Amino acid sequence: MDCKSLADQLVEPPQEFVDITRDYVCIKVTDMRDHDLNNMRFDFGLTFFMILAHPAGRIYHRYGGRDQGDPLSWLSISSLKRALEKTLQEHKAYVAEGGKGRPDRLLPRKTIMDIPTFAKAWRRKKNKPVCIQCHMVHSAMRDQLAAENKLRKDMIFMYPPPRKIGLTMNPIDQDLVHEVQKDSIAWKAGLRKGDQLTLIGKTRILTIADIQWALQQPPRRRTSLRIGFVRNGKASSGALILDKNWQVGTPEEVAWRPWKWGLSPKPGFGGVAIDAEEKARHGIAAGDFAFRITYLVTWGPDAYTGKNAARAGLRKGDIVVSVGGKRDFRSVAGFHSWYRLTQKPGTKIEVQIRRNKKLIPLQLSVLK
Amino acid sequence: MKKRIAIWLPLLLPLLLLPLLTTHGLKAQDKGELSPIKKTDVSPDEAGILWRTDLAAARKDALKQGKPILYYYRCEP
Repeated sequence: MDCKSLADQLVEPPQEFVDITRDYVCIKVTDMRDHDLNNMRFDFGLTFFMILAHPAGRIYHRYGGRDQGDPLSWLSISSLKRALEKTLQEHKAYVAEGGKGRPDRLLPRKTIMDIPTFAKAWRRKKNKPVCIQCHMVHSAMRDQLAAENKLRKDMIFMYPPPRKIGLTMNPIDQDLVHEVQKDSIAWKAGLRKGDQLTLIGKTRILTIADIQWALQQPPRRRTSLRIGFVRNGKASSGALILDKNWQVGTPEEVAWRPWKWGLSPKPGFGGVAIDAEEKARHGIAAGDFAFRITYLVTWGPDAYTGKNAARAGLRKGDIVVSVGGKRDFRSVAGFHSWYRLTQKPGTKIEVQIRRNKKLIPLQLSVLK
Repeated sequence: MKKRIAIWLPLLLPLLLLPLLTTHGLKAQDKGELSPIKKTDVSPDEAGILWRTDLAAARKDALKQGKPILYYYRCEP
C-alpha cells in the first residue's frame, strides 16, 4: 500500500498514469450541485470516487470505495491504471460493435435541489457553503427519507463490501478473488481463490466498487444474484443466495459512515480517544477503550440531547470508560454508531466516567 | 439647474445603482444561482492531466473524439 493517499498521488502522478489519461476526457467534479443523482449514482458517503463512462451516459465501471478498515486500502495508482486500461479496451470494443453509449435504463435527471427537504433548508440557509460535497448529498437523501417516515436504521448498511459475501479481492487486480471464506455466500455460489469475477447481476465486474454497486442493487428480501466468473480460462456461472438481512452487520462496520450522524437516538456528547499514557494515569487497562468528552451538543436542533447529557451529570473533560457495560469500542465513531443503532428510546443506560481519579456511574436517559 | 443635473447625474448614477446591483447579486446567490466554481475551467495540473469542470462541453468533446470519460469526484467533508 502506498503511503500517500491516491488523491495526493494524483497531484503528481507517474508518467505512465498520465499517458493513459490522454485516452480519456477527464472531468473533475468538486461541486455536486448539478450532479445527476439518478443516472450517475455512487456511494455518496465517500470523499473520493471515479466513474468511467461513455460520453452518452453508459457507465462502464466505478472505482473507489472502502470498508470498515483502512479507507485507502483499495485505492492505488496501480489499480486505477489497470482499471483505466481495461475500460479503454472495453470502450473500444463496445464502440466497434456499434454501441451508442446510452445507458440501459435512463432515469429522469434529478439533482440535490430536487430533494425537497434539502432545497427548503438551502433556501433558508444564510451562510451557504462554497460548494455541495458528496456527503451532503447522502445527508440530504437520509433527511428526506426521515421526513417521509421511510428511514430505517438498517439502511446504513449500504454498498456492501465484498467481505459481506465472504470475498477478499486482490487490491490491484480487483476482479481477482484473493480469498473465499469457507461456507460463505460466495463459497456456496461456487467461487474460489484465483477466480476472475466477471459479472454480478447485470453489473460487469472490474473493480471492488463495481462489486459494491452490484451488491447494493437487489431488493432487501430473500433473493439471488447471478454471477459469472472465469477459472483456468473457462467461463462459469453461479448464484449468490441472499437472505433478507444479509447486508446488516455490526455498528462498528459502518462507524465510518457520516450517515450515522442523522440517526437517533443520539447521546448528546462526544470527544476524542485517549492514548495509553493517559489511560495509565487514570488506571484504565491498556486494552480498554476510553475517550475524553470534548463537547456536549448545545447547538442546533439536537441541543436537547446535550442538555439531557448534562442533566445526567456528564461534563466536558470527563473520561468515558464504559457505556451500558461496554468498554470494547474501537473508536469514538464506533461508540456513536453503536449508540444510535442499538439503544432504545425510553430506557436508561449507565455511563461510567473517570473524574478527579474517581470512577463515577451516571444514568443517561435515552431520548428519541 | 439643468446644467447642474447634467454634470452630476453621470457621476451619481453608478452610486445610486450600486445597492440595487448588490441586492440582486445576493438574492441570486441566495437561490443558489451563482456558482463560485467557474463552469468553463479547463485546468491542466502540474503533471499534465487536463481536469475539466465544464461537464457539457467536455462530454461533447469526448463524443467527437470517441473517448470515454473519467469522472473524478473529490469531496472534502
